[in-house]
Amino acid sequence: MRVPLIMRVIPVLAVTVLLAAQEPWKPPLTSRIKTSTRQVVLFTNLETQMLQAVQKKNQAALTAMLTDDFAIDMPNADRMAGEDWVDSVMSKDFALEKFGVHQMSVIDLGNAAVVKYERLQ
Amino acid sequence: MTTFLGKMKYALVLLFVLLAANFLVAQALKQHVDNPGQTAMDPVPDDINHTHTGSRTQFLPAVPGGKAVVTGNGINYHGGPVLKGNPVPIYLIFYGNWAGSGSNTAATVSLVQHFISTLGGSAIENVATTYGDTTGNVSGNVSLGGTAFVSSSKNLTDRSLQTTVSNVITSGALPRDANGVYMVLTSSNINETSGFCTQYCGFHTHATLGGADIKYAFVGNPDRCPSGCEAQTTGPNSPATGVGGADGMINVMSHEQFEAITDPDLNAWFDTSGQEDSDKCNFNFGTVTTCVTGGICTPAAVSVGSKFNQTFGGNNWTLQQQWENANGGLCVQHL
Repeated sequence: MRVPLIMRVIPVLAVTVLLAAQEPWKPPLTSRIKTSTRQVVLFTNLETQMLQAVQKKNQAALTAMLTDDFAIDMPNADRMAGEDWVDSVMSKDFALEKFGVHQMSVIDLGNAAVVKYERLQ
Repeated sequence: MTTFLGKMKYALVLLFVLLAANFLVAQALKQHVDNPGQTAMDPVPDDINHTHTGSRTQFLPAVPGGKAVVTGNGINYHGGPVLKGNPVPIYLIFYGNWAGSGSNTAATVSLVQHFISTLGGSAIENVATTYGDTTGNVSGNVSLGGTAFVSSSKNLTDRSLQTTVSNVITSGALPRDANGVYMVLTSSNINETSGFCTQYCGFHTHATLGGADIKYAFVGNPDRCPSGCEAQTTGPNSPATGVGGADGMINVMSHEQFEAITDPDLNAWFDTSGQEDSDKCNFNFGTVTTCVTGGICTPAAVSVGSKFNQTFGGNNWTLQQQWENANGGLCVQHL
């Protein structure tokens, strides 16, 4: 006699569910409150000052923070010289309403540093 | 036909009972899993040294009564608890190779233990008494609750750091204490791959381990990245010039334990930008004094004019200031 389909499916489902219950449970890690390195503190402050100068359209303060060879490289675009970048963010067409500097990391190379961070605006 | 169906039903019921029993046992195991990725049947690691080294507990007079939650001082209260033990036990877990050279030595271990043993009631720790929750204030007193050693050459991740804390407790090397703070201190050959030396010098957090809300912190030996995590490469207790790891580590430990006490579950005291009390004064040391001959700095510290700003327990220390939750809020070395 043929066994009804449901009689064949139920045990398979039961075994599947109960086997899944055997997986070791890994509790989620909670957030960490990090003590930033000296370089992270330094560069966070510098980036914040620079972005505040952009926000307030303070060209003098902004250019005082940039070196003569400052340049901006963006994906799929030509390198933008510092002067051109300053002109663009100081124009009436651009407004930086809010910003945030997060997840900064700094690799100290001695005479230089590689700074990575997320900027939200 | 009827016999076959009956046998099938019997077999299915038996199978269900067996699997259900297995399921229930698995739930019990889940509740006893202290270590993510492991099961309760995993053996205790052989490399955990069961060492109980605690200083005699000193009970200081309770902090005079007053308002436990005081606001308006540049830092906000978010409803969570603070640690109000008198004292709050600090448990030290030395991870890595602490029988090495430089600052990875028994001398550093002793200095760190001495620091924790004498920190309670000090001027800098008393700043913590300006913080409280709805049931009382922080006492400003801490003690050395115990020490354990985990010998390893493996770098840590956030996950394995938590596992390390859990293993030390499960093994019995340190007690399970939801009212204490566990500090994992790594030798300079050990990295914490989530960002030690590139993002942070240390951090604190908490987790439910074995049913208890365990507060723990990571502090790495800053000789791994002196420019990032040391105020000076030769500290007031340095055994030799350029060996500033112990003093640098102690400064970060001061930061982390202060925050683990005033914001243990990350829902008590922090400001609008998310900064906790010690964060607001990170690497801010205030007025400092130069080590000179005839004082209690080491000869190496005197030779380079190392700076210090705290003295207790017969030692000079270089400790960041802490945010006082009073007088409008500011970084201070003492109340």
